[in-house]
Amino acid sequence: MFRVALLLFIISCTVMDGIVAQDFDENIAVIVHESIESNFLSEEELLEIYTLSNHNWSDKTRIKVADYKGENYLRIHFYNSLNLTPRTIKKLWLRAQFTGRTVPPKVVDSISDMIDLVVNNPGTIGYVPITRVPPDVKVIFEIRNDL
Amino acid sequence: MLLTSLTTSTKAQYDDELYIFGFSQVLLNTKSVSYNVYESDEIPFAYGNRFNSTSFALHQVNLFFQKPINERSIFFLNLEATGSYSSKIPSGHLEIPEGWISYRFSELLEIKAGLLLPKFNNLTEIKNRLPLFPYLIRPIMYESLLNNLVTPEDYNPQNAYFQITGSKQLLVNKYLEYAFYIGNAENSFLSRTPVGSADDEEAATAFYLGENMNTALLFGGRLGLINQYETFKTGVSFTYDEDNRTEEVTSIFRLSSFTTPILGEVKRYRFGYDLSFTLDKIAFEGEFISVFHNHKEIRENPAFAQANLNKYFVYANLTYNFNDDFYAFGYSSFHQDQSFEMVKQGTPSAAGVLVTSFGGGWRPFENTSIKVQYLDSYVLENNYLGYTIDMLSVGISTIF
Repeated sequence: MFRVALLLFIISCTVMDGIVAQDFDENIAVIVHESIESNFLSEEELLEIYTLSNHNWSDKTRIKVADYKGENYLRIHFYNSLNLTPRTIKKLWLRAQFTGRTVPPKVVDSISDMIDLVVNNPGTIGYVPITRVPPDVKVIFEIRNDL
Repeated sequence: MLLTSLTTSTKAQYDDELYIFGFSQVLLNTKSVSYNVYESDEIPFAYGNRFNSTSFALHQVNLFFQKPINERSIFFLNLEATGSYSSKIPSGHLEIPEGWISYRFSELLEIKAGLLLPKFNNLTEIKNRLPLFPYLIRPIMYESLLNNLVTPEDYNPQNAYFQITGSKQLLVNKYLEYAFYIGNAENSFLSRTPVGSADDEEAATAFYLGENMNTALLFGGRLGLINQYETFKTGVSFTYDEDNRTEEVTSIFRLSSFTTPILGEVKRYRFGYDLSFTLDKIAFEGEFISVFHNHKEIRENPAFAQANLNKYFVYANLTYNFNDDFYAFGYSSFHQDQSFEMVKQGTPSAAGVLVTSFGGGWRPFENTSIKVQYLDSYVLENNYLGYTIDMLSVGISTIF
């Protein structure tokens, strides 16, 4: 039994794979529902929100974090810009979710769904390519790729 | 219609409605257990046996219900089924290990009231969240499949009913966190008979099953340091409660001929230290638990002058992440129990159990992991008993 286990262990050690992120050179806008009082977030504040360390806006209403499903280029680029990876953030969220510390983030399939969610739900924060920002949301942080 | 109601439910979840999620882990394990009793002055001839078995199991399913009550308050309920639970066969266990409501005044102060997992060492807080672990079979103190080998509450507090927690930023990306909690004394103090005959003291005075039939309570706390991404976490923990030695303790590591003395209720202090960190592709997690008893009253009886109920547990795990999808791990744990259930009174050396394990995992999808694990466990430092487990497990862990 030990030999079988050792063989499986060695096989698992030798298999390698990697995530290939597509190039993404557009700026990313972090958007919130227009009812949010804040007009600007620092990078540190954005990190606190996406790592689920900060649960409430300055007016004490609950922060509702929105994100994309899977590992699409926009999501990978968003987190890489914050020196994170989607898997790191997923791990943090799982722990927060499973220990009941906070409400789990809402996950959407597309940029259109993200816009709908932020526009229609007070307290929501999400992110979209800068060229897709609709008129009825606030942009409170921008990840620039054109510098 | 079902599809419609599910869709409605998903939409409603974001409007602070009930949020339902969970995970399951199914596994196949093949194990070999050897049991040997050695010849000694007390045992005239050696005997033993070896048992092999292969079994599938729905190792664990947890269903979480979370409901934001208002901007600061959350209700949380955890339903847990282990060991292919079925009341028909019967097999496994079904329980509600958590059901609490929280109120967050600020980051510095949050209160929880209800049945909850206390903040002792890191593992105690997440012990039944299987997807958070790289392995299938948890360290012996936390693994429901191995609960017949050790009494977990001898080492860890199992639950509490009221907890105050909070955190304060100390340095850039470093937070000090604290917790204080209170709960029932250990489970063996809980009533196991409902109201019944006046001939039975417990049955005559217990109002309900599970009532704490002792005035002793559990008090505990933790002081820790954590960074924002939880890639570094350390802390010290403590508890105070009473160890129930009012009846004979049974253990698989104790020979039936060596009876456990009745020592009464013994004051117990648990101290814990834990450390976990991630450095690039390497993740380390370790903890140490030391359990002290106040032996003063016990040792006043000359028959128990050498009584020693103290014990300790140490565990360390190293995980290497080849990338986001593949990883390998190896862990080892050792616990030593100097009390009577493992060795005969007066035996100079205590008995201990060493567990070593290694394996790997693959995450084919975002919420699914396939894990393989080999585990070996055997009794050390015991002149009377040999007990060895070899186990190979493969399983799938899914978050839903």
